[in-house]
Amino acid sequence: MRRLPFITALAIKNIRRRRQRSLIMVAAIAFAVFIAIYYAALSEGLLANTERNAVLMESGYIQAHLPGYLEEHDFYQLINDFARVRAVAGEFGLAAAPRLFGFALAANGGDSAGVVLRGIDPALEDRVTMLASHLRSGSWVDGRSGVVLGTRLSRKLGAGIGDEIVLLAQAADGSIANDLFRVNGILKPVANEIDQGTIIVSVAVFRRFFVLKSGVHEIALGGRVLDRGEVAALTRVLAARLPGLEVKGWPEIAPVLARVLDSSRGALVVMLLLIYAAMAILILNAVLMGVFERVREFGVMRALGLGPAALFGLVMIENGIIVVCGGVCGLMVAVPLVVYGQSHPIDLTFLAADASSIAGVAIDPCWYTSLTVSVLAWPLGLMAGIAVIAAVYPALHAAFINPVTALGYD
Amino acid sequence: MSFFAKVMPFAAVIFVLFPVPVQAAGIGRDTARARAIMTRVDDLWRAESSHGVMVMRVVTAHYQRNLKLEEWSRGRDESLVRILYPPRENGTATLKSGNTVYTWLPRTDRVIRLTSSTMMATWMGSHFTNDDLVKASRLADDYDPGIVFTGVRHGIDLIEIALRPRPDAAVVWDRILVEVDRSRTLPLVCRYYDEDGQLVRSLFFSGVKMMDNRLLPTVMRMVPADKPGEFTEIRYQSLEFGLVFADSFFSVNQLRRR
Amino acid sequence: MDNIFLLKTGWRSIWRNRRRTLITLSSVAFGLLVSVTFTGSADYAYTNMIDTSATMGFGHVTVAAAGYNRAPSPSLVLSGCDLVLAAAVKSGVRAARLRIVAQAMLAAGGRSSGGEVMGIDPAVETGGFNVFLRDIVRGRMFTPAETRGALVGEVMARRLKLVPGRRLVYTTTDRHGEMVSGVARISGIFRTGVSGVDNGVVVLPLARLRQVLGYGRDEASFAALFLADQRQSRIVRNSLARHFTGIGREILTWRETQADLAGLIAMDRAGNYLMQFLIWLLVAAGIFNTMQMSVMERRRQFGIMQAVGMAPRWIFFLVMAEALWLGVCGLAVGVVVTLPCYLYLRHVGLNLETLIGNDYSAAGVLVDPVLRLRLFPETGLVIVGFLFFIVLAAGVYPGLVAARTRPIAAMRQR
Repeated sequence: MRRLPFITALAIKNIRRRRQRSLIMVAAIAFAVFIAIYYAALSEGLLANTERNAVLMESGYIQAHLPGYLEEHDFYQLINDFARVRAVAGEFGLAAAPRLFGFALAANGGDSAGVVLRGIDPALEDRVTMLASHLRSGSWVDGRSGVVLGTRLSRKLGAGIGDEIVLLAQAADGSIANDLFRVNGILKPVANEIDQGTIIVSVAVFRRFFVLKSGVHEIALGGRVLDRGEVAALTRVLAARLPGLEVKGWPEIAPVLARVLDSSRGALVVMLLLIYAAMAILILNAVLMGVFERVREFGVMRALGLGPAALFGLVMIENGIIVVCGGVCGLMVAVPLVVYGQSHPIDLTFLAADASSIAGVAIDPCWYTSLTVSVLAWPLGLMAGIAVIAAVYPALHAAFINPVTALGYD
Repeated sequence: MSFFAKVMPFAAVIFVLFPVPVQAAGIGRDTARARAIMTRVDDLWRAESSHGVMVMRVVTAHYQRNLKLEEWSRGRDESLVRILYPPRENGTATLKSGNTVYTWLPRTDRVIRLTSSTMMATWMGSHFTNDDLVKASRLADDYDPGIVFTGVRHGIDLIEIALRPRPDAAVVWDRILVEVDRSRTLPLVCRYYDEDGQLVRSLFFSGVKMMDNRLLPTVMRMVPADKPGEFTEIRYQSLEFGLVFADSFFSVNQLRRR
Repeated sequence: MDNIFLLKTGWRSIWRNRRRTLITLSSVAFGLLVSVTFTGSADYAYTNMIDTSATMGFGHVTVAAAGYNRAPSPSLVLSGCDLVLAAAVKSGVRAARLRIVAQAMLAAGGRSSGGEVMGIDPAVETGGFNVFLRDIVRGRMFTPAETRGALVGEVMARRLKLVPGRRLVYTTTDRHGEMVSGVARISGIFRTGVSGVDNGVVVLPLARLRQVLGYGRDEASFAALFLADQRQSRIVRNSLARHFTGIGREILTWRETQADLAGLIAMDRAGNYLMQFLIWLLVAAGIFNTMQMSVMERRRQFGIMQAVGMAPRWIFFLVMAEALWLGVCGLAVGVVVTLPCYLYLRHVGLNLETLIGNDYSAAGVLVDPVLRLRLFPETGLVIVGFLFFIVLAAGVYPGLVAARTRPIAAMRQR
């Protein structure tokens, strides 16, 4: 196309001459792109966060137990080589956190309740789950006698920050374990079991209380964001590397949760497609109108000797410039907002005062956006596709128009 | 974990009281006889009051445990047990008063009232549950006895009595079979069955001795059926009967006094 | 100038560019379809979840002793139940049921498990207001004559090896905090699909539990009230509150007793509305785009109109008349497109069981795997009204631009 520079110049001139209309088209496309990107970012953020929150709330991506521990919860089913598991996990860039569980009776004044004591290593746990960030009030467990209570348990025991509670249990050696503990903190709603009957202590305190020298019941692995495929792959590899241990990914540990997340992903994808459809209609509308209302003008150009190919090129280039401008403007508005939304969520806490849960796991009432390639690529690609398709028909129409008919076209 | 109540009269616990003499018409001869035997057996341990010292040995797959305990009881509803040994748990005491069980923990200086959630938990790390102790004093109300066997078995002339729960008795067993030495009317073994007819555990009696002028088994061994090698054995070192206690003896205040 | 003329002119104007108008109408119709589908399926699902959750114990409205909801305890006893039931019936509830709920230790043979006992009256309870009766998979509900009957969840039944006819011992604390136990014989086994419930709840006869816990004939843990329409919960609560203020009772709606469900619904609804709002914005932008283009194309026409003495506000009204027609026609097309979809999904539904399984619970409530729609009439009106308003609003600026056309400049346009 020798005449490309000429046609391009003509296109730009046309656009500038008809500045107001061009602006309206650019604005419409920009708006459509902006809404689509923003909603896609919100959906993506919601999906990623719901899954990450649910998984990192307390379970972690991958867990290792002795075979049968998950069913029996036998206190004596202990993994004795935490260090080795940790080292193997380290080879795959994963952090490992040990956990211990024991039944106890907790009493505060006249109130008492059966509880599960969960021993964690605060530093290691922090790398694998976000449990510590779900503290509602007070401070986290310490190496002394400070414990953290689930929210409903604290209500049941009538225990507040600073209160001393008594724990009574059978120690590993059969003796009567009993001690006073200080309530350091109370959790937000996390998951049903934790809310209703879990007391979190440090591993050191757990061992002293239960007279347990070594071994752990559960090892949670994580420390970086993993998608489902990575979880499945790592689970397989780790299972092979750790014979004698039962290694399971979170979808196996919490299958209902996994399926619920899958189906909400489905629902969000449907909503996203609808938003894209609305965006497409808007862009289609703008482009079709932009071309068809100028049929008369094209007729004049044809009459002045512009060939069909040139005219077709002109329409496509004009249109292309406008769509690209629209896309760029849309991006320029959307990206800063999406980036802002990554750290400043839409906070719906006021709607869900005391938390809500899906499949027994509390969900985060904050919507963060998430900026991924697909969040930008889909709306922009779709925009480009729609714009081209929408322009081809009228451009052909313009190219092969009979000048006489066109001049009479209004 | 957790404990409570009277350790000892596990026998009393198991056989306890059928203080009501056989009277009701309509009770068959066997039933009447079974009731009489159970009453007699129960009276071995049963007195207005008792005081004793015993050692308890617990063997499980995971630990062995030796305890020395001192026990006081009055009637069927009041008892107090205190740990004498090991030093780590010394002073820990359990008071049973009616259906309520309190534990005093010297380490924390707290009295804890046990709740329903701990009833099925083990008592002092043994093979008994807290529920055994609370339910024990209700055996008379909870079970109907009947003779199922009379004659010689493993070379002993014995009578076997089956205890069946009454329809509204809150007990978990479907059947308890008790073998009684016919000549001395002393218990030999109690076997506990669930509703599948599966033996869940057995309680063996031995070491028949004179204590405070009574001839009775001084050793009781509880053996769970599904845990080979495990058992809990209680051995009386001393036992005396007919003591007089102040009314305040079986109280929460007394519990805290060391 | 009369309105009829405006409407006629407006009608003619929008059809002068048929293609453009059709695209615009389709976008309005699309907005309506999306809104109806999403609002309808959400309203159906929420209502379903609220009703199911109500049948799991607390009803839509709950009357209990003050403080019960915050920290349930057998010592918090609702007394004067007959009065409460009578007042409830007067407030127009569909059903009112007394229930006792207590934490308990459950044991059979050598096995035991923590859980919860719930006392219900077999003479009045039916599957309609009680999920446990509805979901019996083995055995049957105990009759009023069976004073020691019990229903147990499937998971607990498996763990404790329970089948109909077996003994189950429950140990709990009575109203004075004393430990008490009772025995029951399993009559039936239920499966709700919510694992915590199937592994935790044992249903017992109310009268028996009253005896065991030391409750009087006129006492219970709470009264569960069921409404024909869950949206009336607050109204019923308020009307009952007038009867019972200041005498140690609390009257709560499902929003308080099922706070996590209420939270989930609120958040889900917010997400849903956000999506619909964005779609409406896109629809509005499309209409604005159309109208603005069309106004700019016709500057010459508006200039002439003004030159021949037409007042600017009439020109504005003319553009608004076009917007009105776009709205009316768009909604008409929308209704034609939406109605068959709506009716299908309302009466038949889309079975998503293969997609999400049938044990998907949210906020402790089982979710129906069949996608169905239920649009409350007033919600439908709100959607239609709002869409119509949006179309009109999109016409305002182009209308003003048209009205402000300067005759001379405009006529020089070409």
